[in-house]
Amino acid sequence: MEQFKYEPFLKKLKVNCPPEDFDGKNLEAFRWVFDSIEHDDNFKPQYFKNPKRFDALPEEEICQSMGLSLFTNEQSARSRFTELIKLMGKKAYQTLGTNLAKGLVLENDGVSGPVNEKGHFTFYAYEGVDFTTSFKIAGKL
Amino acid sequence: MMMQPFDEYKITGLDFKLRKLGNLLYHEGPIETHYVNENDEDYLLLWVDGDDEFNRWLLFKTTIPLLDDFFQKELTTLDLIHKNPDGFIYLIDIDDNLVHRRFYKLPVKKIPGDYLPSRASFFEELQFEDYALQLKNYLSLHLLRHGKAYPNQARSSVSLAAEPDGPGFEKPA
Repeated sequence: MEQFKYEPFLKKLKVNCPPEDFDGKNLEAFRWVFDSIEHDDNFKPQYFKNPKRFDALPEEEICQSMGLSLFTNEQSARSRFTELIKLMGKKAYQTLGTNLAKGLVLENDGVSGPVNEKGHFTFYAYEGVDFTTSFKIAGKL
Repeated sequence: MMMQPFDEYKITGLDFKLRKLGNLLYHEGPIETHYVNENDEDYLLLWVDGDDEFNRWLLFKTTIPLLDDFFQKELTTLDLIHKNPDGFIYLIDIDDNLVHRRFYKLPVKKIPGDYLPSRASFFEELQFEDYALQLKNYLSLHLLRHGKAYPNQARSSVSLAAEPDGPGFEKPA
């Protein structure tokens, strides 16, 4: 049985995390990253960057923040960033990323949720999975 | 990198409490969130800046008609800030423990340019959260029935009272 990365934190929640309908899939995926693919924050779920920020949220949202945000295609990833930058301005680059990275998420890397209408899905990696070696920067955001 | 200080606009806290109603825009955390105060006056809270110690949020009052215009794509989030009935906004610095450490009250014209949304910050159904879509539909229905939802829509916030620690946001249940 595979162990999830951050499993003790996932198990601490009263909700099922990852949700039961998440499963392993083979998908091409895109993610916003910082200038170097090795940047510590690139594949760290938001929760683990600042857990206190999420303490007051419902457990479903905490669970969501413990997963990685990925997109199934470049256009969706760029459209979403463009939308957020309209609101956040150039500060979006400081907090969300500066580049778009592309890689493959395989069924034995972890479990993925359903892809929503924004082309976005949440992914929970298994222990030992390192996307800094399998994702490559595809271009500037 | 330290965030811009606004010492001349510092206040001790807010003189009202806020209750979160929902996220309009969310990506790995709230980006634009809808709140109401004790008098059911509407506020929007936007993330605008952050450093190693704090996240800075911009809080401003809005009204149901303004929100409806926003959802009808007649106004942008930038317009909502400029048209807010108070004529001023609050900046709130919140630390990693969710303690509200610093409060500033700025006239709209003193907001730094890089804290303002773009002129293209229109509502986009595809990109906003389910809560935003529900609110849009609710407001459309409400305004259709009543013509005007806010008899006191232009009422300003009451003046700020000195409160040693300043009230925090209510934690959602």
